[in-house]
Amino acid sequence: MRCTWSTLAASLIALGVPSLVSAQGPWVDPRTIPVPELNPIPQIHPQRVQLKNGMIVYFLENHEFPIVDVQARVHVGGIYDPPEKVGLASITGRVMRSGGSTQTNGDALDEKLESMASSVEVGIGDTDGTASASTLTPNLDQTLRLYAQVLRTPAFPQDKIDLAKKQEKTGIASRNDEHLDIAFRELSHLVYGKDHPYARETEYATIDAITRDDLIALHKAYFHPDRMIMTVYGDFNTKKVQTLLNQLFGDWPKATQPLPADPVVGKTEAKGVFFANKSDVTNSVIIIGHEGMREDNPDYPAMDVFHQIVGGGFSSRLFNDIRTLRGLAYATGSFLGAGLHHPGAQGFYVLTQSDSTRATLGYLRNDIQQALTQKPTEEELKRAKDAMLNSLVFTLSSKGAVLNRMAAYEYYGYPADFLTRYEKAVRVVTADEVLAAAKRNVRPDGLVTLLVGDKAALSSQLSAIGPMTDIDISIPEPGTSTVRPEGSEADFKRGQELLGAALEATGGAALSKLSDLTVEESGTISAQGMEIAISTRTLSKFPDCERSEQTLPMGKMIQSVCGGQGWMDAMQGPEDMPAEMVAEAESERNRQLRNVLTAHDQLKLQAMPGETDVEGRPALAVFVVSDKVKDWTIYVDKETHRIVRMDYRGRGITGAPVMAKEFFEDYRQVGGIWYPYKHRIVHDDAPLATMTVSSIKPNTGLTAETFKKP
Amino acid sequence: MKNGLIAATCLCVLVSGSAFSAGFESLESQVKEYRLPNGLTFLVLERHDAPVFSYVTYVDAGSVDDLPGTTGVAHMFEHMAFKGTPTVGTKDYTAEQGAMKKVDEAVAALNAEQDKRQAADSTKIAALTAAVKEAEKKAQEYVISNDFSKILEENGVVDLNAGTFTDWTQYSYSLPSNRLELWARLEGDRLTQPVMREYYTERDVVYEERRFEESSPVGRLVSEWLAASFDAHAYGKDVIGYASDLKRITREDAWDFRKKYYVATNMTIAIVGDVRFEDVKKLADKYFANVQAGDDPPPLRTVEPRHDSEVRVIHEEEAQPIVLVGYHIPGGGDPEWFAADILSDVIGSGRTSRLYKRLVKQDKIAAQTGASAGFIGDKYPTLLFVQAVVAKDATTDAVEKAIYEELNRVSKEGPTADELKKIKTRAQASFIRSMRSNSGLAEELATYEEKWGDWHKLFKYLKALNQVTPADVQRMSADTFRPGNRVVGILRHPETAAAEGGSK
Repeated sequence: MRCTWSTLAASLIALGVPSLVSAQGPWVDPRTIPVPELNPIPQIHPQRVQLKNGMIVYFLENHEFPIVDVQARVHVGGIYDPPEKVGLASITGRVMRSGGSTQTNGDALDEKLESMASSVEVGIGDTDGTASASTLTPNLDQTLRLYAQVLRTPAFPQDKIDLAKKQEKTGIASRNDEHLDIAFRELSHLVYGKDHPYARETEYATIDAITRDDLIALHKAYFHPDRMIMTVYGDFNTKKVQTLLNQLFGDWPKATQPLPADPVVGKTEAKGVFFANKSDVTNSVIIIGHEGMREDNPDYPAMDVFHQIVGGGFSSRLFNDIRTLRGLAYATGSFLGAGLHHPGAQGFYVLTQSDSTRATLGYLRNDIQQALTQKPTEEELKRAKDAMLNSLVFTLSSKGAVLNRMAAYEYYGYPADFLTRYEKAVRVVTADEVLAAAKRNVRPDGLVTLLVGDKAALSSQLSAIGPMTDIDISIPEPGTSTVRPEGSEADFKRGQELLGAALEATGGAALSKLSDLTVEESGTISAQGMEIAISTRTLSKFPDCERSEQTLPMGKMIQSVCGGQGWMDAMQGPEDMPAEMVAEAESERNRQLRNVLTAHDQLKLQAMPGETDVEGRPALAVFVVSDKVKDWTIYVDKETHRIVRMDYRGRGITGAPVMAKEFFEDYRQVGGIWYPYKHRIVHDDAPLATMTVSSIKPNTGLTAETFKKP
Repeated sequence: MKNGLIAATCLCVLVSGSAFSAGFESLESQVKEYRLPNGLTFLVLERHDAPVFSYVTYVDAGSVDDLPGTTGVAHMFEHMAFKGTPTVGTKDYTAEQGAMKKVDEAVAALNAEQDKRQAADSTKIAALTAAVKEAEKKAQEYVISNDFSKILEENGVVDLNAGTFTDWTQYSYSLPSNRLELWARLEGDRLTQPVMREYYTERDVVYEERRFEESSPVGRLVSEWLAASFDAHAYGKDVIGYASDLKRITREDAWDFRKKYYVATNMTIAIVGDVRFEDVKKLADKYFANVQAGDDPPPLRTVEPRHDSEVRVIHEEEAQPIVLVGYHIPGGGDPEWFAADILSDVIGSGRTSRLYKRLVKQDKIAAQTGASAGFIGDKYPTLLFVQAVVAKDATTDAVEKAIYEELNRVSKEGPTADELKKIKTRAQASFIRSMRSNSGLAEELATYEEKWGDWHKLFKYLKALNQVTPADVQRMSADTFRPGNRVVGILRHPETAAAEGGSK
């Protein structure tokens, strides 16, 4: 402090300014600066109008800036998807925008909007759909016309539907990438019940099942003026826009189909401890929870305060105890799970190192128990209220945001002054009331526990944790899509003959006796519109060791599997390969040419009728009936008898399942065996990779050493 | 902000002539100014829509002001601004000062040994390095980590941020409006008496940031291309500093920078939101009176000489091929600037731009295209830069050729009236949208006052751009797009060079 003073004094003297400040200066502890009462959130007075066709519109003029924002909330949602087509609503929303209208297709729409600096967006979530538009004032008419087109007459072109499905599938493929995502998702399943509309997931099969007719039918059933609430905010004239809306939407017929009933949410039925295994993590997620509540529950404000105190940020009980005091949490907190439409999931969570899972679980349970018995201190109460009102202030930091919240309240059947009531209730709630509400709304015996982590790493802690139920989070593969006739005995015999001939044509005994093979190839991979150069070296020691080295522009990657174990180096040093990846590698080995040929008598091979054409040459198709590989068809050249193509259901670069086609060309003889020197891979009809062999070395005497983890 | 393929913020603000709302036009009259005796300027716009406010402190200094040997110091100092003051972030400032002095001494000893270069004793270096770490550990005992940020988080801060770029350094965040005094207490404190604590640890962090940027082939190309674009002017330097300098800049270096540039007259603070001008004035008097007064540091005197020879920077690597072309244009304060700004939009902004239509849609030789005026700054004469990501099966030669053909077309024919109209509309929209938010408007006001000397110019910009005609753009195009004025950066596969008989 003395230093500060002398610095200040020195500079003040230099300036010739009389000392304004005391020895300490104005630099009091910032935490003691007085904080006056916060001003209330904006009060707005929009005009609410119901058009003849039933559409409800809120108008709020604000001429500060020449912009107009329009937002419509539509009564539609993923919860109404039929179970076998989960994802239909979401995809419909996407394609309504990407595909444009019957009058203005997607690309033309993009260009028109771009040149006006306007935007139009559509999206459908679980319980509602939103369609919004934003424009500069002079372009309001034009933009609203396009907006109306998109809402009323979407084109739903097939190519955009296919694209949306692809994007959705990529999302499915990556949904187990992050264990926090897994945890909150699986909690939903436990809280609501596995196939409950509020918990269910999109799956490959449900996405595949969606057709263009489905989108058209959904739009027809749900998108009607009497199922919408719209807000118009900004620099416009209410009368003029009302007239325009009547022009654009006036003759839009009302809905004829009744809305389905909303799903019911009861108390959580799942009991005990559940475990979802994720083997490539070094920490565990622990969540303890059950059902939450709707926001119109009278206890909502008090429970919001409760969760802020217990688990809302670094001043919370959970943070102070499990993180600051014990150093056991990477992250910790709690949530109420309150929803305008339906109760969410309520819970308390910790992210902790695998080693400390059991101990942390214990502390978490203690903290929950304490929270239900120890009422908040006055300081806790004040700090929580402060934090909550602060964040409220930022979510409603403009009149436009308040307007949309108002419309949401009407949409969900809440009173117009709901927010003001909530704010007031938070300000006045007492510590006793908070505790009482907690006791009413958190059922200690009804809480279910979920763990997500590496079960192997936790093996020594499992018995201490007690009995638990395993959850299978594996992503269901889509079913087979190959249509084929019932195979007769003759068909299967012929299949064996064809592959037998292929074996002979590819080297026969020399191929069967091949003990190892080293192949170097180079080529390109197409990914995200770019071509990436790649060179590979694959070392195989038959029957079950394979090591593959891939050199890409960004570095070198190695994968090695031998006898059911594997390791890999993805430019971060050698690591053990997760079990799923080892299984995947082994499945791929089943499809290797050499293995298919030498073990063909162990496969169920159904020769297909007729002839096909592979790269202009006649070929015969053989379907492989297999549990391990789906939609697997081998094509044998009619003349040379060698395998020239193989189709199967595999995995794309993003992890999503794809229909793969591999082409084997330019066969040359090397030491008694025939090898394809050119190899092309196509995924879902898009070229993926083209590789050319630069060297082949059979039988160089590879040993197990080659495949060992360094 | 980092180097790389980023388009600089281009204040493309144009009016299609008419329809400004009444409210918008009166915005200018609502801005209030307050200047302290030390020269510090406050701009305040009251907006009582919601009980929040945003602020921006804009310092008219950036990486261009780094000196050789201490590049990276402007950016380092910005990091230091979060470490606290004598009264924030420390358990015992007096004791801490002693400990920090010991760190400085240890670092000086290490530097002295390193300066022996080939004669340096590596064992000694190892020992001295360990001594520095030891001294840092001791100093660390007095530190309350992240105290500054924590206080703000407890009080509901949103968008806590800071940035260093070529021309400027900015600090900003938003708070509920009943925290105005807290803001003044914290901001006034750190502008008056920042403490360079945890300096060398932070320097290591910045060094790692730099290494991360270096790991991208595009990042490396841009760095060398930029250096080749500016023979004389400091825009050619890396914002984050050269690696060798980063290993040596000391606390004293950062402090010297601060003494010269963090002078009251060299900064402007803009506050927009639910505040009262009278309150801001009182708080300014109380907490900002002792921000160091002094002479306004002079602008850079070196002007990049005219370029008459094409420069080519070729980088060969197995990576996505790209083509960059930079052309020298006037700076943002020049009356010709507006034509250059619009020119870059005609060439490269959006799906209806010249380059997109020709290279992406028509010839299909590029996957992406773009152009932007004011890379890598706009306070001084700068670059209009054009970029294209080469499509599969296309060559960098073909892309280059097509780019020049399109640029020459604009030089010959100019843009159409329709093109100009669309561009002006888009620029207007983006300008207005940025003004709509408290933080956006605060940034614009502070920037205009400090960089251009007068915040009123913000409200004239729209009109000025609207006056640009197709002929102006054509003339700017002809002046700019000459081969002698360009610096080409190419990232291509090595095979291409081999095929063309070139050497690696």
